[in-house]
This record gives sequence, structure tokens and C-alpha cells, in this order.
Amino acid sequence: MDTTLSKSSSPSSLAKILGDSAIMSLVGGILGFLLIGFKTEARGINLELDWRLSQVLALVVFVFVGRLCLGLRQFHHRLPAIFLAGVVSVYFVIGLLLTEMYGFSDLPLPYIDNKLNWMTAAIYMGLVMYLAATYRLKKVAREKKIVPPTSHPKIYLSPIFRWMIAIAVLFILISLPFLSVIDRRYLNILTQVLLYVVLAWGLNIVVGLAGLLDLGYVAFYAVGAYSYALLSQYYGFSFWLCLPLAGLLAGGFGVMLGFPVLRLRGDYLAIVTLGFGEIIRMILVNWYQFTGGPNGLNQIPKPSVLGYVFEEPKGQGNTISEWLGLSYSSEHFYIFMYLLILVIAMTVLWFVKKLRRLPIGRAWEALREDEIACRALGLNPTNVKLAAFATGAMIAGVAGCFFAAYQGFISPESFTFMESVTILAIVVLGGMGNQLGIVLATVILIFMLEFRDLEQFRMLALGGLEVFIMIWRPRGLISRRYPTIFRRFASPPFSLNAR
Amino acid sequence: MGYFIEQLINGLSLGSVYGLIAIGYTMVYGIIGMVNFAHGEVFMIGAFHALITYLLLQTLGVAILPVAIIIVLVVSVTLTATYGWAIERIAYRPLRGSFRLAPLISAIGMSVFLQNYVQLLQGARPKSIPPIIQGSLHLFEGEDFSISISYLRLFIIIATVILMIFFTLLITKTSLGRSQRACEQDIKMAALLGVNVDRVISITFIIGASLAAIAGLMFMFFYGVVDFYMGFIAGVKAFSAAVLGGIGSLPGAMLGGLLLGVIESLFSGYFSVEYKDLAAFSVLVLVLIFRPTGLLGRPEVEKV
Amino acid sequence: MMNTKTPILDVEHLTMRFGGLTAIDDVSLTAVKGEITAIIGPNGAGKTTLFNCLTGFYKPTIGRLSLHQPAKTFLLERMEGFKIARIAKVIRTFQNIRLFPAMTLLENMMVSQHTALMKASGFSLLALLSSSNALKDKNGFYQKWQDFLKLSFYANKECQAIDKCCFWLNQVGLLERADEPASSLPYGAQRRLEIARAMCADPTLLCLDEPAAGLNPKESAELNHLLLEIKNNHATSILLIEHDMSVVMNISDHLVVLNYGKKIAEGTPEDIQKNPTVIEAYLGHTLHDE
Repeated sequence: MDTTLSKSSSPSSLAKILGDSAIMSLVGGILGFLLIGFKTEARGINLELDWRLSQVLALVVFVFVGRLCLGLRQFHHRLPAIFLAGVVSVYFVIGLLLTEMYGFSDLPLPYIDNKLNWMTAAIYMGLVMYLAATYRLKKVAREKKIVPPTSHPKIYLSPIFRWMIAIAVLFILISLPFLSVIDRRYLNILTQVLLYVVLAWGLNIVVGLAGLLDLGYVAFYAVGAYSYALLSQYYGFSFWLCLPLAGLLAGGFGVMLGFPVLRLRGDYLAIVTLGFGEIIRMILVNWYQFTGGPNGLNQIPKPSVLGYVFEEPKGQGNTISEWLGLSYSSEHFYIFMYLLILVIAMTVLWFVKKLRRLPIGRAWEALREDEIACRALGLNPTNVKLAAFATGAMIAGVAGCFFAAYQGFISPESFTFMESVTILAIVVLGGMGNQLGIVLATVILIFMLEFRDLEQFRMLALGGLEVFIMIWRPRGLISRRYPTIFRRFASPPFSLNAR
Repeated sequence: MGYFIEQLINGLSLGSVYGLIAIGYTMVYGIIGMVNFAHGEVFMIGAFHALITYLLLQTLGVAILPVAIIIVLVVSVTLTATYGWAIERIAYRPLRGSFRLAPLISAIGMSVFLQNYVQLLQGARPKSIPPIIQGSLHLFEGEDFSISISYLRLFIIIATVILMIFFTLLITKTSLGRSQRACEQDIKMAALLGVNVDRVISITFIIGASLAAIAGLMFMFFYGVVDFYMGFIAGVKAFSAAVLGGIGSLPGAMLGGLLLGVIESLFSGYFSVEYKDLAAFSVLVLVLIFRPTGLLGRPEVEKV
Repeated sequence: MMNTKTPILDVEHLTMRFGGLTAIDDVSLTAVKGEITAIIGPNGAGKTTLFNCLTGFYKPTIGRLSLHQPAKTFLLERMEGFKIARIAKVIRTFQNIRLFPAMTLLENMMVSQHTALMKASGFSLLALLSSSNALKDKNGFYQKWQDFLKLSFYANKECQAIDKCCFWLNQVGLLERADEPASSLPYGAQRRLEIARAMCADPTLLCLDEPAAGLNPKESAELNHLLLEIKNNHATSILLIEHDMSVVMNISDHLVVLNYGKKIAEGTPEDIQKNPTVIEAYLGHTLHDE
């Protein structure tokens, strides 16, 4: 699309905007004509078509108006754009409110499914807000002076302050499950969020720090989960023994997987890892005797604490509820697991931060920046890559073990390529290499999309978001890289006057 | 023996479909050096377009088969080619100067988006229609076995051969093909020499998408089943084919496709059907590890 | 004539062919230890190819490359790229500067000490429990406790490494900017950083690929100063590819001239300046034609 900025408000530029919008909406109409306009429905043995052409028309109008607004903004007709977008959103909102209140509305709405109507309204309202917000910003940006780039964070918080914030956050997180407002469902969501955060931190080592695009990460997750399930089933290993063991096994897999793919660059590496991930999933599905096939494994034992189990008291005195002197509730197990994943997450965070500071972490980042320079300085790229794979895999293995214990049953369904893509999307969205960004991204993607009504749009939004982020902010939401070594760590006289 | 030849012919027709999709992968990789993850989804969209157009024609009462096929062909190729063009404009063009993983991640996102887009619009269940072209050609009648090839398979193989000839001529003889080969060699220089690089890249995507659409159409006619997930599997297999044949090489893509189709067919015929996808994925992994340049590709020398 | 100088690098009959193209044709040269040897020649003469063969990026078609260290002689044509840098200590810089742009200057420098630090930290695993070097108070309680448990072994090593990095940053005048990302440096500073980074790795042979490219005369003079400093005070032999004659002629001890992949002359700067073959190669005609 032509992005020339012209300050003139001559009729020709207006014609240009209209022309652009028309073309774009026409393309939208072509793209959507068959797929949106008709729905294939199986009735009996025949396949029939339902006609939905009005939806295509709605799409065309939607794209036209949207592009018109954006085009007007570019040509400095911001106010008309805001007005137009505002009118459309008001129209939608009124129509929807009427439908809610009276069950019908005189204002015809394009989509039968009201969810889509709400989403369209939301998009237009978002457009209004964006246009209004950037109106001010544009003026400010023009007057901004040029600041030389530094790696010092703009907001400098002293270490004591940072510790205080960290402790406060930790306190809140620990006390969350005990609040009465958090019921089982929210606790489940929180646990899921933390689980994905751990997985994303692990993948971050491979993708964010070392720059190796691994699309088969979910395979290590599966190894961890199945290890616990099988080891506890066949050998009666306890959860606490399996936790590190699963990590080691997955790490071993990571090395095995890493070995053959070392010489491959970017695209090929991604596809081979994808291939490996799918191969492992297919083996899990088909090797019925060992892995339980598509039904998976169930009755995976819950962890026990110091010999006390999470079960209903049967008079033997060995249950958690008896030990704590509380009446039995299944909640106890879930609260415990939440706290456990919190502990695991904190450990992983400490581990990753420490590694970044150590030579191997620096080697990962150097490898990502320029592999050839690394070789010329004596780094062995093979070992560095293997270390990245192994460490990331280990973290996934531990997460997998937790997952198996948490759910009580596992099946290959949980370890598809889509999971890998989800974790990758989190890493990419959050900012590759940045721990905090990943937490933020996980919260956005998992937490907010857990709303039941929008469940079916989750993957769609994920894919679209990934494309959008790459175009808008390729480095992710938080793209700042925090260095690990500063001049003030040197001895005097080098450290004099260091900040 | 008859069984073997039957599986071989199966494999060749399946392989033709893979080969057509693989050409799209190899052309895009040759010109902008990235793997178009969303290409498998374009194939799937092509199949859906063919299906819907066909059903539409049925509803409108167009009964004459060759006419219907031609209309379906024209409509679905046009619409799917538009998809290919749009994907490039939205997801890849803005990222041309970005770091090397960016277009790849964007492609993955696009692939996921398109899969779910079709899933939401058309429903998650596979759609099936009764086979359209019936009948087969008897090639050989012997005592123990007879070999026959269905008209449909014949159609696929012949159509593929014609397309291959057409596109090889296009690449080698026309000025468009010349511009494209120039862009493959050195894109900056081609731009400096006046080649409209944006247009060449767009046309490459359009050609790739058209071929994938034709492949989708064939698939739909032949297997009669489409679902939103077929693009992923077919995409990975077609990419394996492209790599097997040597990425960047057009005849390599077709050769790789045929080979892969035959391997898959023979594997499912003689070993096990459940693991046939595994065979395809394993081929991919083995080729990329041991011979990344494939059969007909050129080895890349590292520039320091 | 007895040569009292010890060679550090012997290139014998090096030939490099790419398919039908012969980039280097039977080139032999010797670099003397502790000296600056410059390789010059018109563009396309094969100089960078020679470097690539020396540092393991290309595998020579024919030839032997011997690097002489006091303890052992290394055959570079048989060694893997990174091993040449790690064990034989042949460190190079690149024509198109290859820094780690997102990392700070100090971090860039620390990467070159990777091997030593990995050993010290037990491949980064044992050092997980060791304290990081954020402690300024080296006699404080926490530090003493760490010393007692022998956990501070890595922190001490890291201290030393940081000091060494800062030393070299100071040598090239970039100490003040140590905490800035490498991508923010201007061109000349990036070149100096690359050299400093190479020196941090304690090379026996430092290979510089056009270090003066793009430098103005003042910066070139500073570069001369730096290279002489390296040669004299740090016992490092230097192998240099360069076009800028103000650098080459002023600091080189020995010159080798390549043209079309062949060695056409060799000697001291004075000899080369007068050599008619060299003049013809550069200017296209001999003195007599003028």
C-alpha cells in the first residue's frame, strides 16, 4: 500500500484515499466471497451450501470504512476519520444494546452471531481511541529532540526498590489462592499461566537468547510428562524423584535432537525441529503398547508431601487434611500445585538470570548476534547450541512432569504443533530474551483469552497477533535488553566515574 | 507385481500433487530466501474454493462435466492466487528489511491464522463429496493381475506434465522468467538494473498459489475430502519434496514430489498405513540433516 | 644467510580452487614472530581468501599452513575453524566488521574470554552457586562467607576478566562507553573495538582484515600507534591485509604482494615501493612508460 504522506488536502488526495479504500475492500470481497459467502453443511450424505452473502457485503463495507479512516488520518483529515469511526461504533453499540434489551432492533446488524457484532464494534471503538490518541502524539513527536541511544533503562529504579517490588509481587502471588474470590476456575487459570510462563522461559533460552527457532519444543514437554507417567506406573517412582529425572531425560532428548540439526540455519532448523516434534507425537499416538496411544495414560499419581497424600481421610492418618487439621477438600491439592508451580517458576527465573550472567549465557547471545564472529573468537558453536537445546529441554521436561501430576492424565492431544506455536507466540510477543515481557505476553494470551465465549477465536487471534507484532514491533512488547556486566564491576582505576 | 505397479501409479499421482505445491515453496525460497509456511494453507484454501465452486455450480444446475471443471478451475485459481498475493503483501513485504527470523515467525502466524479462519467459517468437520470423475483405463490384463489406472489419476499426471512444460518455458524463455532468475541470483543488482522487484516477487507468489490451487482442485476431485487441517500436513510433505529435490530448483521440486509420493505410497502399501506420515516426515529430517542441498540443488558456499 | 628470526607462520604452496576458479595459486610466505607482516595487492588478488584459509573458513585445496608456537606446531589446514582460534590462538577481524550489536562493548569483550571463563566456572554449572561480582565491598561478610565455602572462585576470575577487558578498552580509547550497545558506536570506533576484542583473547597471531578501511588520516595514525603498541608490548605477531599505504608502509616489517592469486613480490617496504612488478600490478604500466 502506498504510504506517501502528503500534507495537502486537495481533492486528488481525497480521491486517492477513496480509491485505495475501494481497492482494498474489493480485494477483501474477492478473498471472502466464497469462503465467507457460502458455508458447506453436511446434511445426510450430501454436502449443501448455505448462503451468507450478506456477511461478505458486511466485510467489504467494514474494510472500506476502516481503510478510509486510516487513510484520512494519514492525509491529516484526522477529525473526519474519528467522526466516521465514531459513527459506526455508535451505530453498532446502539443496535446491540437494543437487541439485548428488547430482543430485536430496528437497526440492522450485519452478523447473525452477536459476538461478531460486538467484536466489530470493539474494533471501531479501538480505532477511534487510536486515532484520538495518536493525534496528540504526532504533535509531540515533531518537537522531540534526538536523544543518543544508551542501554540505561529510562526508568531507573534503585536495586532496593526493585527488590521491594519483587517481594510485594511474590507476596501477592502466594496469597492469591487463599482469597475467597479466587475459586477453582481462576486458580486453574493462574496455574496454567504459570505453567506457560515456565515453558516460555525455557523456549526463550533457545529462541530468544541463542536465536535458534525451535518449532518442536512441545516434544520435550511431552517427554517430561510421559516420563513421570510411565516411571510412576512401572517403577513406582515418586513425583519428587521424577521431577529432576524428567528434566534430565528431556535434556538428554534435547541433546539428541540438537546434534543432527546443528549445521542448519534459520528456516531449515525450524522445519527440522517441527518434523521432529511431529514424529515424536506420531510415535506417542501410534505406539499403543507403551504410551497408551491416542487415549494416553491416566491415573497418574498425585505427589505426596512427606508421606502425606492428597486424598480423603480413610482413617489411616496419612492424608494432608488430617495432618493440617482441616476438613478434606479437593481444593487443597490445587492450592498446593499452584504454590508448587510458583516455586518452580521462581527457580527457573533465578536459573535463567544466573545463566545469562555466566559465560554460557553470553555465548548464547553472541551466537544469536553473529555466529561467524563467535567461531573466530574460539567459541565452539556446536557445544553452545547443544547447551541451549539441552537447557531449554530440561525446563520443558520439568514443566511436563508437573503437568502430568496436575492433570492426572495425559494424551498426545496436549502435545500438538499448536502448543509449540502458542509457546513460540508468547516468546515472540513478549520480547525475545526478555523475562518480564514473557510474563506479560502470557498473561495477555492465556489469561484474557480464557473467557469461555471467545475460546474459539483464541488461535485465530494468536496467529493474527503474531503477524501483527512482527510488523509493528518485531522485537516484541518489551524489547529492551538488559546487559549483565557493567564497567562499575571492574577494579579501579577502570571503574572510576562509572554509573 | 500388479500391486506394486498399482502403488507406484498411486504414488505418482499423489506425488504430482505434492510436486505442484512444492514448486510454490521452491520458487519463493529461491527468490526471497524464506520458507513460506503459509503455502500449505493456500493449498487448503484452493481445495475449499474448488469444493464451494463445484457445489455452487451444482446448485445452479451446471451439469456438463468438462464445462464445470473448467469453471471451477478458473474461479478457484483466480481466488486462491489472490490469497497468495494478499499473504505476501500483508505478512512478508513489510518485513523485508527485518531480522532473519521475522518473516518466518510471521509466516507461522499467518499459517495458524488461515487454518483457524477456515475452521471458523466452514466448520471443523471434514467435508466429503462423492467422486466426480468415474471410470478407469485398463492398461494390462494378465492372468494373476491386471493394472488399471483411473481416468482421474491419468488426468492428474497429464495435467501436471503440461503445467511443468508450461512453467519451464515461462521461466526460461520469457522476460518475466528472466527477471525472476535475475532476482534469484542477486536481488539488489536486479533492482539496480531496473527490474521491478516488488512485482516479480508478487508474481512469484501468484504463480505458486495458482499451482497450489490446481493441486487443491485435483486433491478435491480425487479424494473428495477436504478439511481445514489438510494444509499443514500437505505443506510439510510438499516442503520435504522441495528439499529432497533441491530447494531453488523447479525440476527438482517436481522430482522430489514424485519421489516422495512414491515413497509414501509404497510405504503405506507394504508396511503400515498409520505411520505413512511418519515416513514423509522422516524423509524430510534425513534429507535436511544429511544432504540439505537435495538431489538437484546447488551447494551454498559461506560468504565471510 | 642464517635467519635469526623465528617464524610464527609458514604458508607452503597454498592453492585454493573454487570449481573452475583458482583464487590462490601456489602461494608461499613466512611471517616472522613478533613482526608485522602485511599482505597487499589489488582487489580480487585473493587476500581475504588467504585469511579465510588460515582461519578455517575455507579448506585449502592444496597446501600446508603451519603455526609455530613454542610448545607445538599446529597444522591449520587440518583444524576446525573455532579450534584455530581457541588452541592455535589465531584471531582475526573481518572486512565487514562483525561485532555483537545488541551487546554492550564490555560484553563484546568478555565473549573473547569465553574459554577461560568456562573452565573457571566449570562449564557454567559449578558457578551457579557462586556469587556474582556485584559486590564492591570485597571484604564484606558475604564475600568472606563465599571465600570460606570456596564458592567465589568464579567471581574472582570474572573480576580479572573484566579488568582485562577494561584495560583493552582503555587502550583503544573506548573505556567511557563500555556500557553502551556496540551498535551505537561510529564506524572508526567499531573497528577499534574489534581489534580490542581480538586482543582480549590473547592471540599469538592477530590477523587484521583491512583495519584502516574507512578511517580518516588521523584515525589511521592512531591505528598505527595501536598496532605498534601491540607488537612491541604484547608479544603478538600481526598479519595485516591493507590497502592504505600510510598504514602499511609505516608500520610493516615485511610485505607480501599478491596479484591474481599469485605472489609477485616480497620484502621490506622500501624494496616493495621500488619493485617494478608491483608498480605495474597497481598502476598497470611500468615506470619506463611514463
